[in-house]
Amino acid sequence: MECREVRQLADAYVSDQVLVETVEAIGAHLEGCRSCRAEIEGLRRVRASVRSAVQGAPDLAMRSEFAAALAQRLQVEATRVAPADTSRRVWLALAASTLLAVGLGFGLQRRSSMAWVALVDDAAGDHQNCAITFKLSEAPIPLTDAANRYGGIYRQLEGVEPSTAALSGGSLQVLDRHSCVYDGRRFVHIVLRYKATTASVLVTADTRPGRWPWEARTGEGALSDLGVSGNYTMASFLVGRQVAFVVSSLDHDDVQEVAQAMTGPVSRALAGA
Amino acid sequence: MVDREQDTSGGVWAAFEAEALPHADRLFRLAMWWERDRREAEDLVQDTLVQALKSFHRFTPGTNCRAWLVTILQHLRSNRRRARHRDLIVEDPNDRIADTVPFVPAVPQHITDEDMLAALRGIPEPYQDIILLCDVEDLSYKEIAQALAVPMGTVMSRLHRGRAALRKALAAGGAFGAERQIPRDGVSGEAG
Repeated sequence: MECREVRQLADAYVSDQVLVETVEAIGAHLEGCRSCRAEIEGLRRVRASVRSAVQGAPDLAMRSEFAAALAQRLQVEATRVAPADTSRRVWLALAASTLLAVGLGFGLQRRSSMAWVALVDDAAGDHQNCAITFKLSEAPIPLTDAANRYGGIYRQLEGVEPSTAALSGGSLQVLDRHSCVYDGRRFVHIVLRYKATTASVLVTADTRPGRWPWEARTGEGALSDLGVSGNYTMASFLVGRQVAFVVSSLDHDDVQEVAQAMTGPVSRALAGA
Repeated sequence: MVDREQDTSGGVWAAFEAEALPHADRLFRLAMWWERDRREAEDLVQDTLVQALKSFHRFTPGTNCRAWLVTILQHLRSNRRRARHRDLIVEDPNDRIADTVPFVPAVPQHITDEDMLAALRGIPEPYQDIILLCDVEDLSYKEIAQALAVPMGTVMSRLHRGRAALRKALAAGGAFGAERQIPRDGVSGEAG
């Protein structure tokens, strides 16, 4: 192989885009040609430097808060993927990935995914059936009664108030605080009113078998934007072994504002539980 | 109450989580490089992954999932750019470097990340795209051609010219000329 041919193939060679025979022919040429060797080494140095610079640039890195919110939002989105969309290939992929992911870690993550979807569904269901349409099969009870029966967190949240009573769109009022059950799951339910619309803060035990790695990085009390689930916009935050959801038909920015007003007070109240 | 362990949506999520989600970080770096705005990059990556989740039944197991995600990302990015009318200024990047390509300076022995990022930013965008997808994302020529919707010959010629431009920019110690908007859909005079 001549120098001219090596130079023509140099880009493909350093990008691993040439056939095995060509790799061998170029390799043989490089052994005896210092000039071409320097050219190839230079190209490799540029390639490695580009990769290192882009992959290491802190300005290009994803925020852990965004990563957490994104994963949770995708989990909620996954609940809306119709079964008809799941072709045989998806099941084959699932079977393959399950077989490959030997060990408890993957199983734990999968169970955590299922448990998270159940939590989100139940929080949205409780808001709908308790705060909006009053269709619960079991009547809500005062938080004092719940504390006497079940102990735990109920008393600590009895007096919780928003951090501010006035948001950008007007006042944020607490209409009721009680404990209710939806789909077999018991919640502390704080019913709020903002912009003439009902919003719920629903606190319950985080029943997932494990938490996501990024939740350790984002820290407790950090707000996660769950986007729209069914008819409602949702946000969530973790405190100790509890998870709190904010659910409303308000738009995204309003729910975020309500959630921000409730995160601190609820977190502080639960921290004392 | 539904047995959620048997729920098909849970199955889709588990497969998606194992195959696609590990690429989110690299996908974001690419989006951030292109958009230069964190909010825009976050929107783009979120839209990409939601779209990928909805279309996950079309992904062929055993193929390169990152290449598949990059193709969706690039498609959404192109749509956004068209919506913003950012592709109106037409310029052939080959014209800018045609006279200078024959002389390709030696690669400096020590290249700092800052110098490399500045040099990469300074070359025409179509060349940035190819170099990012080839050298950073490790996509094959065929995968790059599919992601950018250009012929494979165009990928090869842009990669060659792009690397030459990058070396020139590095030797010059900075940007290769002023940054300008470059056409996204094909470049005249390229192999294809």
